Amino acid sequence: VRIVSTSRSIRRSAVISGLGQSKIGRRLTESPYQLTMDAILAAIDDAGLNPSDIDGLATFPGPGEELNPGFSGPDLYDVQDGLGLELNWHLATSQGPAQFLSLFSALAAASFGMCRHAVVYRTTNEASAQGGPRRGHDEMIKQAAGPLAWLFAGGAVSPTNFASFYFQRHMHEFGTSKEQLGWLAITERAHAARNPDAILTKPLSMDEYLSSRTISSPLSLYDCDITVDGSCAVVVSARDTVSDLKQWVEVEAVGGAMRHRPLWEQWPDLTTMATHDAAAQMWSMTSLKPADVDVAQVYDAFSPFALFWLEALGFCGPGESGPYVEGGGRISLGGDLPLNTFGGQLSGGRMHGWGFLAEAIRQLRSEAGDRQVKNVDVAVVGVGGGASASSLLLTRS
Amino acid sequence: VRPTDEDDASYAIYESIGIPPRITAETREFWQATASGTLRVDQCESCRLHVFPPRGICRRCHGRRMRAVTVDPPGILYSFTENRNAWGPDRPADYLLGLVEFPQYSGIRFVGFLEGYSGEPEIGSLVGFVLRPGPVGFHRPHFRPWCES
Repeated sequence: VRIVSTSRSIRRSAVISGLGQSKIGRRLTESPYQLTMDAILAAIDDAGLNPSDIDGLATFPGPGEELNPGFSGPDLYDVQDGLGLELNWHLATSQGPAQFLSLFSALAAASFGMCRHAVVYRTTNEASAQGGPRRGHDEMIKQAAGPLAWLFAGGAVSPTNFASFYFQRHMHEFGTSKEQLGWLAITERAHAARNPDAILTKPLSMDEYLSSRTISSPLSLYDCDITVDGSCAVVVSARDTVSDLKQWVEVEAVGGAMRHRPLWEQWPDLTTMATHDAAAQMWSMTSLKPADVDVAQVYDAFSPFALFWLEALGFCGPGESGPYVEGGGRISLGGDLPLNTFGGQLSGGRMHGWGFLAEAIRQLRSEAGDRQVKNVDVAVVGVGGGASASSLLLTRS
Repeated sequence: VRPTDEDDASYAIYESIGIPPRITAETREFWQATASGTLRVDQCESCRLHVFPPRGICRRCHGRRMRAVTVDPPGILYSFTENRNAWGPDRPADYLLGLVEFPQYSGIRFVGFLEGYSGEPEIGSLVGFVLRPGPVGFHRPHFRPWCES
């Protein structure tokens, strides 16, 4: 079933009015709860609102079985109580359109009048909770159930393994090379050097990239993102409140479609991902086109995900993402499509998708400092990979 | 296909890798079959689609009557990875994982260790399988190069 845009839709009846981010770092001394409070209070202030104005609260993934130590962030109701919020709408859950499930739900809730101003936060303290090298999911999860169960039971205990199945297939079908993939890590590192909040800022050479140790072939160390502690929050406001707001960005379209089987290993064509379903739905909601996009912030928990997003979003054709990023010029600051201008998760840190949203908002508001792209009117954000993804198209108000 | 004792010893290292599946009403028969040495999947009696993972319903025609079909090799290596990282203390680091497709069974795929490869496995090559124990006793397919004999 394809959704067709209609003029009387409530779709664009909510805006993103505030952005807040805590300190982001490797093993911070502050608790994840205090980092969350830092981000939320900053986001509310950024919107020109007071905590007493907030009547909605959401997070993803919420409590429940953690995939990795430090993955989930603080409990929704502990956060509500800490801030003394009187809520009309509240949600913390993990099954839905990837990392933006909470954000899309807040946009819908505000559009439908279930709340006026919702805070949506994402907090992780994976760096300090894991305290060392990343471990397999079998260290956390004692019984496998749900969509990842058959991968885990088969012995693929790290997402690096299943991400590799996809990129290996992309290399096989299209001749995409490891060097081409390397331009993502190298370019993002160069961008991170202009981001005071980034984790890795020393320039990365192709030699260093190619000689780094293999994690799960064809992926090696610099193809994998870097865990951090930190929190990011946004405020979503109903459109009829904009006269109370200091500023906002417009949500032009969203995508979180799931048109294929929800299993990484049974996905029909492993040179595509759920990224393609999300992007197709997003573009179906708007008259804007890929050529209208000024800056792209797309998920790179593993670097190949960014290649899949470039193809899914239509910046290049199927199988053409390797040549598209080769040399790095096109995706650099000053290029045709500046990509992951804060360093991505590879160098900027693994805020589990929310770093991309934060950077898109900053770029649209011309607040990106040394890495600001000129005249940003349209920004695209894509998060997730494999059999779970969501995207959104943001425009300047 | 049952492995020999000698194979069991050399591949015992894999036994520690993986997460035991939660057994449900829908998956119980699948895991009972692997324990007794066969890989069995459901086939819809109405439209003949092979359904895996087992759901007790056909996602194409919504038929509820399934029959158990034994999956025979060969499958085709759809993708693979060479794992080189130890995912915990005292854990093995070097092993091959494959994603194997069975076109003759509606294209269902299984994830499992690849064994018996001297060089890099070739995508598109034929593979056979043996069923071996995983952590806490459940059995799962390990894939190996296919020989007609």
